[in-house]
Amino acid sequence: MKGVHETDVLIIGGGSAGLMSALSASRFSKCLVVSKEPIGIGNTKISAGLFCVSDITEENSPESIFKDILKGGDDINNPELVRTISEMAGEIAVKMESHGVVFKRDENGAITKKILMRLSGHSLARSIATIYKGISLTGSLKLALAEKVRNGRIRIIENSIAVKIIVDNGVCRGAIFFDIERGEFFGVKSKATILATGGAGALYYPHTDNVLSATGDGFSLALRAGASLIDMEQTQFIPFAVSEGSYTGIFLGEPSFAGPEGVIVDDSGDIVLRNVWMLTRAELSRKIGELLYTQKLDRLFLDPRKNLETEEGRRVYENLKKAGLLDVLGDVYGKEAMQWKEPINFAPTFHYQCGGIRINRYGETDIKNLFACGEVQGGTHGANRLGSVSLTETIVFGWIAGERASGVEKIHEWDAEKEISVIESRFSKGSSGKNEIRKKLQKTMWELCGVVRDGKGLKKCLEIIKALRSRMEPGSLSPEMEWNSAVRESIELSFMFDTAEAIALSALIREETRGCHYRKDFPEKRDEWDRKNVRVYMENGSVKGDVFSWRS
Amino acid sequence: MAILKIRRYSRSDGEWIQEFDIPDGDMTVLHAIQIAGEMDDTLAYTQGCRYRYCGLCSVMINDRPRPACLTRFTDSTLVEPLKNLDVIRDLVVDRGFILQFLSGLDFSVNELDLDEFKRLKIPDELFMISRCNDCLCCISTCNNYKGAHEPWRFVKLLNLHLNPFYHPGDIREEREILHRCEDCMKCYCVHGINLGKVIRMLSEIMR
Repeated sequence: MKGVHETDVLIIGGGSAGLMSALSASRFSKCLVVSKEPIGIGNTKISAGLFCVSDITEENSPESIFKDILKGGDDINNPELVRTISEMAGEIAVKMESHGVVFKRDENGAITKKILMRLSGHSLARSIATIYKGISLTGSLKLALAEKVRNGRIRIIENSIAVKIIVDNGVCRGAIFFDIERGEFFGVKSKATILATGGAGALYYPHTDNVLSATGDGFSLALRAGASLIDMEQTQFIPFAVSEGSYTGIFLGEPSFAGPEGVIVDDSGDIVLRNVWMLTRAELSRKIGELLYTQKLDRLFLDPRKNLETEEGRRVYENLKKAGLLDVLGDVYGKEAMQWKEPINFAPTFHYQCGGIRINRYGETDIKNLFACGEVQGGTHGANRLGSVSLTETIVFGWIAGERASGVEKIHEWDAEKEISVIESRFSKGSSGKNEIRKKLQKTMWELCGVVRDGKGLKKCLEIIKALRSRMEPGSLSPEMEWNSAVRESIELSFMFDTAEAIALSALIREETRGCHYRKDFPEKRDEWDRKNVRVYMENGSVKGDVFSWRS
Repeated sequence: MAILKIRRYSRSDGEWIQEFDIPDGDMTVLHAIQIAGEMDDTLAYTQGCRYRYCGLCSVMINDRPRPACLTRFTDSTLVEPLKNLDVIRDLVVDRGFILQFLSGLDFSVNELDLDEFKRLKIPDELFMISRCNDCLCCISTCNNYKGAHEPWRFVKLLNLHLNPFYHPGDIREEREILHRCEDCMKCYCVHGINLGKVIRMLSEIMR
């Protein structure tokens, strides 16, 4: 007898989107959360723990958030999702604190104007911080979840990766998983299924600040299930990150990290870029990509030293220091760098997937009874995400998707044992040489589908993806082994191919430069692309694309 | 070349030490383990963010519990699974107890009225213990371990008492476990939580 579970709502993913949707759904239904990593470990946990809120000040209205997100996203966002998040931003603090998540407060113990932060792209200060980054956030959400486990509302299975979403006759019926810890497959029959699997930073490894488990599983699972992805070319890069060594890709800072006097210099110390600190993430990453990959400069350095000579620069330094944002310089480069006494070697890094699964305002995908929320969803951010909107999105849409999914009335039957046997027979062979193939894929994505793109390179990128995919030869991997990371990695690699293809194909289709997407051969924003979205879907096993608009 | 020694274990093959030749270069222990994992893809280990926060890469490094991502690799380094925890395979320890422990805790969420919400006192110690990322190193620093996931569990218990949104139930049965630790206090936290203070505060609360 193969392991088969039944539940009302199946949630795939253990980050903030998964946990919030479980907490929401558990008010009405029994839930099962299946997570690839132990619960709570993912990009949420390593995040800064920032949320955008409304209504603390009079000018910070839902309408002002709505306008900023659309402006930041270059107006290709799905307006109904932006409307939803703007309207719910006023409830965020209370909703989170009622689950034990504590935010920093002013000296009287209130959340007021004094503690609001203004992050890049926002027209005013509206972001609040948890008391210790993503760590205190996941710590509290985990405890809130544990209370529901204790009450029998939620069950949790950790260390298990989703392999396939079961869809029959256009209806989602559950999923098949591989239990990494025990080395066996199992099935879950559910009334509704929520994908909360997060992003795909691992595609750009080592040039990413994401956790390595962000392998784009949900994008691929959704494609294969028949749902569509939108604007996958909108991959957000952060300009300042570690460029070499064990910490390659680790986040150093936003453009503002340069300070008012910070300049970019080359290997010989010549200034190649000035006035960087007020640029957006996308603008600065683009300029830096130009220098590194088009002008072929070997290495770039941020020289922050002049800041210490001016009053304003000194103030920025002190603020960054106080917020703990310079600590990483100490860990990676040493004391001198931490005190802004020497230039800092850097390169851009992949940070966030703005595109994702097409959903409506209820979190419903194109497939009946299949929902998506969090980074895996598409549409909120359009062509560029503003700081602190991502965690807010996980809470708002996690909550909505959980509630909506609870409304599904019955399980649609399927033969789980048969499905498991089919998958098992495929995996009893597994794949060999996957490390080498994965590294080639990651290198290809960074070089041909990274910060700077062009049509020729993207076509080549798609060819290489196809060739690498065909090299996934059967080998001798036995699934029946405790802590079977080899099988997990080969499942992840097959997802990475789909997601890589979706990004590269979308990037090829969008023949313009907009937001995070920079095409060297189309270096300007083009009118004919205004309010146009790129959609990719799967047909007979291959990824196809077309263009549509949210507004039509 | 530098040598990385890893203590390996599997249910079928038992325990052994395997040596890996790691190319020269300035790198973290986690990076060296990644290279070893590419040489032998049966090597089981866990990792997440590569820098400080996720809590997944903790191992014993030359007999001391450490996040592998924050430790510099040197020749002949010996890496072993975290001490005092159940090993599943190689460097992977069983983390299932975390959720099990949390879901056994008796507490409810406080309903605060708007006035309380606007004058919330957050104790300094809550800021301190909020740094806990469940890296589990503290459990391996214990030299008098009695199998109750001490001192990690004390941090979780204190959290219930300090977080203004929780109303903790009776934890007096914890007294016995805590009692054993009050006289020792040699454990420590690699992320700077003062565990002695955690134990003292909890004793005070239970008095």
